[in-house]
Amino acid sequence: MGEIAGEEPALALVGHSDTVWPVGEPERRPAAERDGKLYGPGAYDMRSGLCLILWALRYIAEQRVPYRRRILVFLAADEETGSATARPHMYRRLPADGTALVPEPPCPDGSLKIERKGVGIFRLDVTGREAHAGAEPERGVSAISELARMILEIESWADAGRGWLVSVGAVEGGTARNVVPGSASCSIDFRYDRQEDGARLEKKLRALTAKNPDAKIEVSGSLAFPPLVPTRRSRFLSQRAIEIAGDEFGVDVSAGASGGGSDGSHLAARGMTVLDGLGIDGGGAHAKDEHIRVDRVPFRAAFFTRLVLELGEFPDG
Amino acid sequence: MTTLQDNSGPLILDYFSRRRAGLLAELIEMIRFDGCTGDADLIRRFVRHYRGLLEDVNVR
Repeated sequence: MGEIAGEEPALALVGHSDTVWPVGEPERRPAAERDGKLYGPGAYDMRSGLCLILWALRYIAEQRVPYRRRILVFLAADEETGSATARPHMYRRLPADGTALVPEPPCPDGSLKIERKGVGIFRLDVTGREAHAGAEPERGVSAISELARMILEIESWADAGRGWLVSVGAVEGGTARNVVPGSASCSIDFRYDRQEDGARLEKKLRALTAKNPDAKIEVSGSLAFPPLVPTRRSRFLSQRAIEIAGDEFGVDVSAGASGGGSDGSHLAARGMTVLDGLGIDGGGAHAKDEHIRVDRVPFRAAFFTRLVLELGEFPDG
Repeated sequence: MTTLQDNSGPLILDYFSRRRAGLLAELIEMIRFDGCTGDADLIRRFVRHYRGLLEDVNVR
């Protein structure tokens, strides 16, 4: 948390310093510029967004801009896993009636994000009973069989019409080829447009039962990110940002929606006015081809800074 | 000192365009910073590293 003194209501600049990559990744795969793109772990999501925050504040300081409004910079360090440790600090430090600019990656076409799906992050553990697969398989209870059945059930809940996305992203289980597997688990990702839909999906997950009464199942996890739902104020703010992009920079920017969660979603659910997706154009988030477009760096730096200055005049209040 | 209104989009864009090489160097440095997730030491190192860029900011 960083703070520059000024008048209320404060403007929050929000980001996260963690990436999805393990420690050591920047050494294994250092940042590199190729064909007009800058590649590297977290380049797009969202180390470049952190640079935008730094550059905007530095611009205000270097140019001695008479900025009256108090600025709060909040960086989470566990956003990629749901911000469990950052969230209490975020709620305590950032004003629920304030405004937040979030330089997370924009939509693939460069659009700002005023709408995001909610995200549920769960894990399902199944416990069976190990036994020799050849000598006495009848004594065993296969956790993998139970889990496989449940995965098919869980994936059947996906419903494009209702905006429900369901993904079982990682599975593990068993110990050896000739052992009836006594344990198995999977990770589950839910995406939804309304918080009540997330609650419905969670309820269905927690209601699952094993076919074999000797198998035990345990569900852990939570609805990690609420949906980011546009409000009158966030639409007003995005419209002003779109006008600035067009009128002052000659760049067409629009407002869009994303399937991914962000801390902006938490803040909006608390009542803050949130404009998200203000980061540098690029692609490959969470993938090894993650990159930003070098030619867009000056524009995005200037656009983000201009928005910070715009909000210095409290047009959102 | 300028006024807020003096800082139009084109003026700000010119400021950043003239510093393009420096911005790229900073981006590379930011990407090079290794990890932060859930590791208090890494987080402290990150904050120590970047607080120097923001001398007037009260960081905690």
